[in-house]
Amino acid sequence: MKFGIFFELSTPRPFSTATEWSVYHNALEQGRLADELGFDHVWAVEHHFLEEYSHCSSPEVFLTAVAAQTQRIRVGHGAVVCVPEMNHPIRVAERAAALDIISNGRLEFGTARSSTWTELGGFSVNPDDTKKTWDEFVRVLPQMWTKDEFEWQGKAFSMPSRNVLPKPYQQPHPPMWVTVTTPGTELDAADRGLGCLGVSAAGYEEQERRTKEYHRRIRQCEPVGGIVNDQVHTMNFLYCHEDYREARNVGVPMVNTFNIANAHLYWTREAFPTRAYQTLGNVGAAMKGKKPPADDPSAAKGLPEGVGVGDPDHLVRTIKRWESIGVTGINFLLNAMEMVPQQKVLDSMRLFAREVMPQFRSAAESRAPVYTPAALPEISAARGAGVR
Amino acid sequence: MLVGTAGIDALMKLQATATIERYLPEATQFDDVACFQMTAEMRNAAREAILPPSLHPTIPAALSLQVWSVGKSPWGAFRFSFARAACRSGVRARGFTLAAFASNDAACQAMRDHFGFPARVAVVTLRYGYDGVDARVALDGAEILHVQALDPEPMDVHDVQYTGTLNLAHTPNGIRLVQLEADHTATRIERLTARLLRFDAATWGNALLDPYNVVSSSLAAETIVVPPLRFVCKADELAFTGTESIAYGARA
Repeated sequence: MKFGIFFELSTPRPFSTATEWSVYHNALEQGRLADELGFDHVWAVEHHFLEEYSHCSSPEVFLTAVAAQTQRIRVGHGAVVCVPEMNHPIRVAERAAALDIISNGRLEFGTARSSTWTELGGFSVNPDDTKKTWDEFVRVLPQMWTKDEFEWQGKAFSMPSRNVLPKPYQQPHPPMWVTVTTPGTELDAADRGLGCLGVSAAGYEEQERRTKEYHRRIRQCEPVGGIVNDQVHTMNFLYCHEDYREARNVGVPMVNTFNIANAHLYWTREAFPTRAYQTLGNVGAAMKGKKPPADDPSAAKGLPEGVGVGDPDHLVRTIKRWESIGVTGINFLLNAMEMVPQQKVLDSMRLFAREVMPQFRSAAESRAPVYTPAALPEISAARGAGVR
Repeated sequence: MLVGTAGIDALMKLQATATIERYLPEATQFDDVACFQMTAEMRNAAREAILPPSLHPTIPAALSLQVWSVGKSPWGAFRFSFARAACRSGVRARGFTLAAFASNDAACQAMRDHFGFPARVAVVTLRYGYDGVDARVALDGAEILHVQALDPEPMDVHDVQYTGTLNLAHTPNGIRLVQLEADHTATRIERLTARLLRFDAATWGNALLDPYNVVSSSLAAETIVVPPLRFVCKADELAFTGTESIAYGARA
């Protein structure tokens, strides 16, 4: 089981330079502590115009700072919006490779296509096209990272033969992921040999169904790159306290605040009739109805099902349940709108690392390099000692 | 977080607020319906100011306009148009009705009495053909809405999203937001490119309404069923605590 932290960089009103400064620098401090404590991943989203919910529009800049201030933790670019109006694919390849070099090969590369009209409309993107451009991006990026001469005639973009530079530090390239909000996207990930980066926390039953299908499908995948990344990570919340009542009193309002802020977004399907977005993609609405069954200890404690809010014992049992259904990593949101004071966030992380993490792995494993999927055999053979 | 800032009394003064004397325990079915829907973004002036304190605006603020041509209903054929501000009740996607217009007295009264629409009688027209849609509303001889939509593209019948509607009305529970969860079953849907040629904001419920950026429009051939009302919400309290279930056994 891998443990990560996940940043939306949500920012409370009233907006000010000081507030945004505080959000960014608190997150950097959390990233440094996560590295010290043995967390495996630090992810940062890419969102635009999402007032309060996410002020993380330049994750590559934020993650470069994280990379420069940490040693072991892997930096997750999660996820790059793969539509050309927002990010030209050449620039995506260049920025990611540079971040992989600066982080000494610690980049995890997530891909997405955005689900809000707030963002797509802001960049004048036609929602009908985003699935197609995402597919084109995930197929060309590994080629840009691995070929000395690359040319392309496509729908999202075209380019004559060039050597896209620099090349990533990791060989053949960083592990690739797809963010999964809408049911079914996990199958798109599996078919292409990409990791499943869940960003809407489904209940146990739904996640188990999706995970099984993902693992079944990825066995027959046609990989778009030189790596098959068969990891399934989910998004969750973390507030850990010795006293479950205190955890509930702090953590549940944090979860609810995140959900409400998420709900304020203007969903693409709501604004624009299209086959390309079959659900509202509303994370908050999905999580609101997730109550634990009556025989689950969470119910008696007034805690939501499967959410990482509680005392250490509760969190161990919750994570073991996620692990039992095939989830290989959990990325935790530590705060929402800064409603949890920074010291409490840091204390929660320390308690989690001290009491919960050791139930899943040894201290030595928490210090060892984080697992990454190996290159496909034919790629490894061709690459030899890593000389280009 | 953003919540509506309009006072309930002020909203009721702006609207022709309806009264529901008794909740209808049966579903209502509208057949042979042509439903035109248009969405448009608005600027921030019309974000919190047009919503009651129980509702959150979307970011960006948005207006949703529907024009129905109903072939069959319990009160006969009629045409109906209403404008809603896109909003959230708790975490649910909803539209708060700002104004509504029906093409005859019987339909107007029924839409008010059964569902709480702040409806008035007006001349509502919806013309559609192979090449586009022309929708108009005129009140007291003055045109208050004119939309033209061209270049229809066939879509799958599930490709249009209709969100639930909240109508501010007098109800047996008091002044409440009445939640309508209309079920649209389409047999044909087209997406069109719309131009908003005339929109009299004040007559549509608030002079602040500013639908400056038309996003999309659609035309559906469908049946609409409005099930019995299940919930009403206090207009000055967030949905998490302000939602009330309707108990038909006790009130019907």
